[in-house]
Amino acid sequence: MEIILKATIIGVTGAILSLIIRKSNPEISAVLALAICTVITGMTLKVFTSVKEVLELIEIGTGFSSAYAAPIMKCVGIGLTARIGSDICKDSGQNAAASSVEICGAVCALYVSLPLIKTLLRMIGELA
Amino acid sequence: MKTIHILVAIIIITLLLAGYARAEPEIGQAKTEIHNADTDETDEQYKVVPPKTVEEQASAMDADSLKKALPYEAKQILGDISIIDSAMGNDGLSAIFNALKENFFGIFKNAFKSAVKILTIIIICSAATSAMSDGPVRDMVTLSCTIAVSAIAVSDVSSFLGMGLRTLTTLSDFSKALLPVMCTAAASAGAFTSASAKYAATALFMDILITVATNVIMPLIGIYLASVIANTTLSKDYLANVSKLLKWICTTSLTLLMLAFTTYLGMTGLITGKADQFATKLTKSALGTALPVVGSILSDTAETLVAGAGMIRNAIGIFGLLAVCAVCLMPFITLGTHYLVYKGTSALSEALTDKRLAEMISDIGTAFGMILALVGAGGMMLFFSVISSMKAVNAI
Repeated sequence: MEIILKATIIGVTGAILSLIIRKSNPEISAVLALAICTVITGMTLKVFTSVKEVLELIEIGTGFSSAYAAPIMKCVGIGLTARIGSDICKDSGQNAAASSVEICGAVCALYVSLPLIKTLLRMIGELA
Repeated sequence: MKTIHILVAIIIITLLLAGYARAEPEIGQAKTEIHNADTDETDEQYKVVPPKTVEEQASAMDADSLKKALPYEAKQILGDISIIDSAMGNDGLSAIFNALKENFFGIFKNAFKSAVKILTIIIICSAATSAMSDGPVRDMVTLSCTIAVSAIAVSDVSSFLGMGLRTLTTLSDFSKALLPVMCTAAASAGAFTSASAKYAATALFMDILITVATNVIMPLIGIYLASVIANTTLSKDYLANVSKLLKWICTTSLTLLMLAFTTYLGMTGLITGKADQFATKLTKSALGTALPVVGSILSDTAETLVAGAGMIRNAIGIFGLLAVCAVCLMPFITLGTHYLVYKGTSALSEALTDKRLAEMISDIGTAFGMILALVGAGGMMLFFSVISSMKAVNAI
């Protein structure tokens, strides 16, 4: 709760500041937006540590292999990073760059999922 | 739904057999408690069979070889059970019930672990995708989750597919020991023609079932799973009809096989049963009338021996049924529990993620149902065969 309040305050304040300086200095406005995103993402990562602990507990309790969990977590990370990057590019008016970031994110997500896909295909091949 | 029907039918038959086992007369002892008008004649026959005769007949029919042929799984559950033990039915059922009680929690725990793994992935994915706008990245994260869920489910199906096939092979191997002894006992009890016909039919259909299971149904289950997963990842129902067709082929082939077997068994029983009755009556009258004075003594003696053989036949039958129950018990609980847990997980995940992933989990649960039906078909075949032999023409 504390973290989301902090994130909201930082985000809203940063957004207002960015709006104020955008007309006079759009480059610094973009850098400010990037800085805000980095700070808020850093705060989120602290919360993510607790999620990781729960995942480890599930891994111990159920034998949930990291071979399944690791690609998923990487995919989620790639997805969120790509979303933030794409939105920053869009805010700066660089739609082509935003699309490139999204495509790169999708390809990277596919790349980290490849071991899972290979495992699944091998299993189905053995069944059929 | 069909698999549930098959499961319910098996449970009802097991309960009926439990009653049948309890109603069996104690070997070598007088059965004087039942005074039913229909069974009076049979009771009289049992009264005159001395215990030693029954033991000697059991030995002559090599009934002990059945105990040696008992599969490992059944031995673990039934323990040191004896065919000529009067309390075999009760002891066997108690042992099976105890095994059920002891193992159910462990099996449920394993199934629950799979459900937790699947739900964990679904929760992570739905949390992550909720923060993403529609686009290629979101699609890729969803695809990654679908593949992870599929990998967990397919690894479960893969291990249980092997278990299903092993159970069928075990049943087939045990039937090779049970059916000849059952056939000998039934023939000694007067079912000269029907015993061999039923033996041949069961052996043939068991072989057909194993061949169909190994070469047709098992690969089809694999292809079914692949089509279900591909259909979910494609995000449009291009392959929905293919998976429905594969499921239909599997269930229909099993249903047809069982239908053919039961029809053949029923027809054989009708035709050969009457022939056996005619032959036994003819033998009795020939013995009684051909030789004056001594003929009736010989006829009575033959009647006693046939009654004893009938008791052995029923005892072997109950032993066989208990063994089949014990062999099928663990696969049935395991597959049934996983089937139900996967269906439950599908219902839960529908609240957390999109309907397609939930449907995929449900369809993978159906694969467990198909394996369950396969094992059930093998067990039912032996059940029907043994019950049919036990119910064959009675005495002279």
